[in-house]
Amino acid sequence: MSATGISLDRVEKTFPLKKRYTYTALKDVTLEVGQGEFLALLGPSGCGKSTILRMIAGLEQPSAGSLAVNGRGPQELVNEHRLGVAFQDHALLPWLTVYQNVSLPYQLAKRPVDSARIQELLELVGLADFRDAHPRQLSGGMRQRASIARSLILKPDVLLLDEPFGALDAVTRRRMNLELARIWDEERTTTVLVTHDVEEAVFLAQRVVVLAANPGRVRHDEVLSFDTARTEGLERTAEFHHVVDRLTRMLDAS
Amino acid sequence: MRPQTKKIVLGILGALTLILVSEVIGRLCLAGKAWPAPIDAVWSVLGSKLSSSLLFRALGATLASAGIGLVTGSLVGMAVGFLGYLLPPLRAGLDQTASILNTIPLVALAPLLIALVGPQGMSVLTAALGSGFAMFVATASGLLAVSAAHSDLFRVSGASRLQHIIRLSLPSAVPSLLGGLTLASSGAVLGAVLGEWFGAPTGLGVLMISSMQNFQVKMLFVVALTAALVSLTAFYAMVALQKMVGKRFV
Repeated sequence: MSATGISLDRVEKTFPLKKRYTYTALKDVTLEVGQGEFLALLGPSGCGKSTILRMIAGLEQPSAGSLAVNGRGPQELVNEHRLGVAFQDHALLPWLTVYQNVSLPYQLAKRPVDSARIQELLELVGLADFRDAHPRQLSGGMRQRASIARSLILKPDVLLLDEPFGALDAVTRRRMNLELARIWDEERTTTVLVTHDVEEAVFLAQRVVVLAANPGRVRHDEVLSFDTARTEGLERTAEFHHVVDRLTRMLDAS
Repeated sequence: MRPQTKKIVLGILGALTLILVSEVIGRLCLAGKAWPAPIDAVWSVLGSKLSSSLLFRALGATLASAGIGLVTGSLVGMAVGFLGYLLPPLRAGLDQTASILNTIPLVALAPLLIALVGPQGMSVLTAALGSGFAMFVATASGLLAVSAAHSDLFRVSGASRLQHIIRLSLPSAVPSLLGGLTLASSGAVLGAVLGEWFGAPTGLGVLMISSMQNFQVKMLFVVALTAALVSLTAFYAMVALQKMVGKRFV
């Protein structure tokens, strides 16, 4: 087991249903995410990809097998405030401004607020002019960008993205992906993205893991390398579409 | 005409019609002597120095007991609700005790309560009971109204229990607390009036009883009207506060 990155070793997750019946959400999942790697977990709904993410975040415990982040239990990473999570629902606090929301991790970690860092991140996600706005005054895309800025603020060792753009329309979503690729190029954090959108996964990640459902298991693991940079029209190249087609067929077959 | 304006105009017209009809019934004695003509009643009570000063002194006393009752009742209700939040094993028992206290008619509890605080203290106590229950329910449910996503956020951010309470649970409870306050404020006024029936020296409730026993129909009507108006004012003041503050928290 490597000391850096995330490793799942024969992880199983079962949920109790009625008495004596259990539902196996994940079976025998073995997965390594290297330091500084961007991994996308791709799968149909109900394949347990969010469950994997919640286990890495320490929100769920594996029923069997072992899971380590940087060689230790996920809770230790949480206790040291070195985990960043952007949720499907932006989870911004409605009574705080954008600036206050992004600075919340500093307060929860009892660290002095670094306003220069907040300003820098707000500029990175294009919200510098909205620092004093409340979440209800922002569009869906802006809320997600604020949520991503908040997940990055403490320079986490591990970043978890749970379909962060799932609720957005296709156009906004493509723009957000481009911005996320740009932000990630600057921060280079170990990242796990959960999505059911093949293009999104192929566009953002260095490596894609395709999951199959019932029970959730790893079906395919592929390292992506493209000649074109993400910011320079990768999604319009034939190579990109070829990969997307192949992975989509794989998803359909599972 | 804008729908909003139309609604207000219709409301005013409706109220005026109601007042006018009851005025006619009262003046012509169509429903006997116990039906006062509203305008005439208000006019004669406020016109006489003696009865108007009696009314305002009673109003002042009721407002004071309602205010003290609202503050103490709310504080106790919120404290008990908070205690149940901190110590979950107590929750079921507290809920049951509060519901039982609230469902027993006040008249049945009155002898016990009088023995506890004396007749003078009754109006404050009943006002506090009325508002305390509303605030207890609002606090208990409000503190649990934290969204699952926010709760997950605090967990993965490594927040302590104290940070969770102060930065998440308490702000999440604000809309519910404001809602509780609208009920508590009108409940306190009605509770105070009711409590005064059990032997308070002054107040709207006392004035109600004495004008009832002395067949002072006009006075009785005006006192009842005053109590209703004060209660409505308290209610709408809190609704306005809710609109002003509450929208920040959802």
